[in-house]
Amino acid sequence: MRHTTPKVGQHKPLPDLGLGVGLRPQHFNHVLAEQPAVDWFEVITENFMEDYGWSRHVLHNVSERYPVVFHGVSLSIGSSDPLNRSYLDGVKKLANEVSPRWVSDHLCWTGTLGRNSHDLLPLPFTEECLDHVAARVCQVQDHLERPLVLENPSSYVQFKSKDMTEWEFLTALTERTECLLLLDVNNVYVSARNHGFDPTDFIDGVPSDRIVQVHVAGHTDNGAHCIDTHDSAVCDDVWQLYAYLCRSTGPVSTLLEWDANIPAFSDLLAEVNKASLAIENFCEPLTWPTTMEGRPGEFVDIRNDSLSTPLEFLMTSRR
Amino acid sequence: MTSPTLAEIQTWFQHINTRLPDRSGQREFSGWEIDDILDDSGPLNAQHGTAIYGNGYMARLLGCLAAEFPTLRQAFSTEWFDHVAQQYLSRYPPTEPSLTTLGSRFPAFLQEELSATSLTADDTAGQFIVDLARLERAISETSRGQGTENIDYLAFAHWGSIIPSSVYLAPNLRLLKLRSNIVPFLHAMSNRQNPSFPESCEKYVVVCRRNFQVCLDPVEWWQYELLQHLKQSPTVQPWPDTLASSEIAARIPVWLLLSTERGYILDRPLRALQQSNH
Ligand SMILES: [Fe+2]
Repeated sequence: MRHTTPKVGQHKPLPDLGLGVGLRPQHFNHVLAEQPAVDWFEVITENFMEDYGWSRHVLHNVSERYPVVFHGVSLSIGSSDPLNRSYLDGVKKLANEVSPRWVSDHLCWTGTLGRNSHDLLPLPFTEECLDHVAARVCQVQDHLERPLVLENPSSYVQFKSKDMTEWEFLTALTERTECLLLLDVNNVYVSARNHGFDPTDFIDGVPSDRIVQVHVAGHTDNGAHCIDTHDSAVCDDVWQLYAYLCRSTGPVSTLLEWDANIPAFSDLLAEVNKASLAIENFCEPLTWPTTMEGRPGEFVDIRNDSLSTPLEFLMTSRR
Repeated sequence: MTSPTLAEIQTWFQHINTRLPDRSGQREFSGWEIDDILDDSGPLNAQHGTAIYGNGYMARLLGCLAAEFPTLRQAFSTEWFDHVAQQYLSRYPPTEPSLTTLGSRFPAFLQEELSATSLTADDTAGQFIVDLARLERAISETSRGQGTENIDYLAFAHWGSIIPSSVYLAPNLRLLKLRSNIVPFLHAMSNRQNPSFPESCEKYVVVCRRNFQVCLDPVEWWQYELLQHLKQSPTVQPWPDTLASSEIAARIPVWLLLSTERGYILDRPLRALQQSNH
């Protein structure tokens, strides 16, 4: 738990909720019974929208005791398919019921031609795509009657069609739509390793006053590349990058994502509480134990790759 | 090559990652190679990066189906389950924002597949597979559906011995007629025992939820018929012909009262009850 005061004169569009964790079915009973000392919870919106059982009951209970934030995975803001109005209605209905502090999703697309891959797929950072996404962000914000908070996903490919970097794209999007940002520093790190850019360029390139939330998470380092597995503790590089980001954002709502090999709740708390220590111990220059250029030439059998963006935890909803 | 549009890029990317034929009449994907569309200059080469999405697509969805049908997967081989689940996902790729509908057609798919391959009408193994899938899907639907937990049961106090003219099934109640005694098998598997496959016999099960816990209640054939009748129409009488015998008709009023206590039925639609409780 963190008790901090914002920097003098810094105006945040949304409050600093402190240090939070994702509310996962594996911890429902513990959270209800023990009411652990955590500042806030993030919930996967889709996990509750069509659940009128135990999960929904727990969500109501938790939202009476803790600040709750919605985090969606199916908005598909960048898809060339039309926006799914009934999905938006569902998000709005649940938001009216639970009053989350804000609603977020990802700068990605999940499918086209009526399909949904349930993956967070990368966008080409072109002017055409920016026009398309910006128009849809405005429609979503109008529909939900609240600002949309968008997160940078981790990515494994880049398109040849490219007019700008991902951070330039995000910056332009905030300027055109007044949307807010959820900066996932682990995703910045994973993408930087996979595509060979300096992660501090990304952090320096996005408007810090639009960042209302930060994600930290563990990934799998395969040497030549990284996979966003959310299945382990946050590595030192990512904590360093987090501390680097916090110099410009000031205290910001910080959330630990852990979605596979989910540990005991106390271990989640211990992990997210390292955030304060990372800020205290931060010193420049940043040093990366593994080079951002990766280690090309190292053979990695792709069949042994770990799974990015795990989903299975969403299927557990029984008491 | 002219720059592809966003829609063209997405159609192509989805095609190579899901390996699915495009629906007829939809946008055609061009015959582009990975090198035509993806930047290969980074540490993670484009071929490998694409494979991460492609492998992840199927693995992630298989994991979700495995989580919804754990006993089916465990009772037979995981290789068999993954193979048949992969065929299912290829025929019915996900279209909804929510994963709750992912497995909705799986039992019917298994039925179709097994009917097409079975040599005899009396395929007990096939029936067992289909029924186990139906039961696990019903458990999943009942656990998530609109239940009766927050209903004020005093609403039924006025019933006394008089049965209202209309009663309504709880929306998340599921009724199953099974062709073998699967419920004890499922419980044993959940307790990590190694039960033998149950023998053929007709069994009737009500899948319902009490205090947010899914219950698998065995019922008699006429109770199943009565609930089926109420599912079609909330009008209690006239009974269906199958329940017309005087012996069974006499047992219906008491059992309907018991059914309210078990959370099977309500005296008005759930929506109306929720509103009157507020
Ligand atoms: Fe994230």
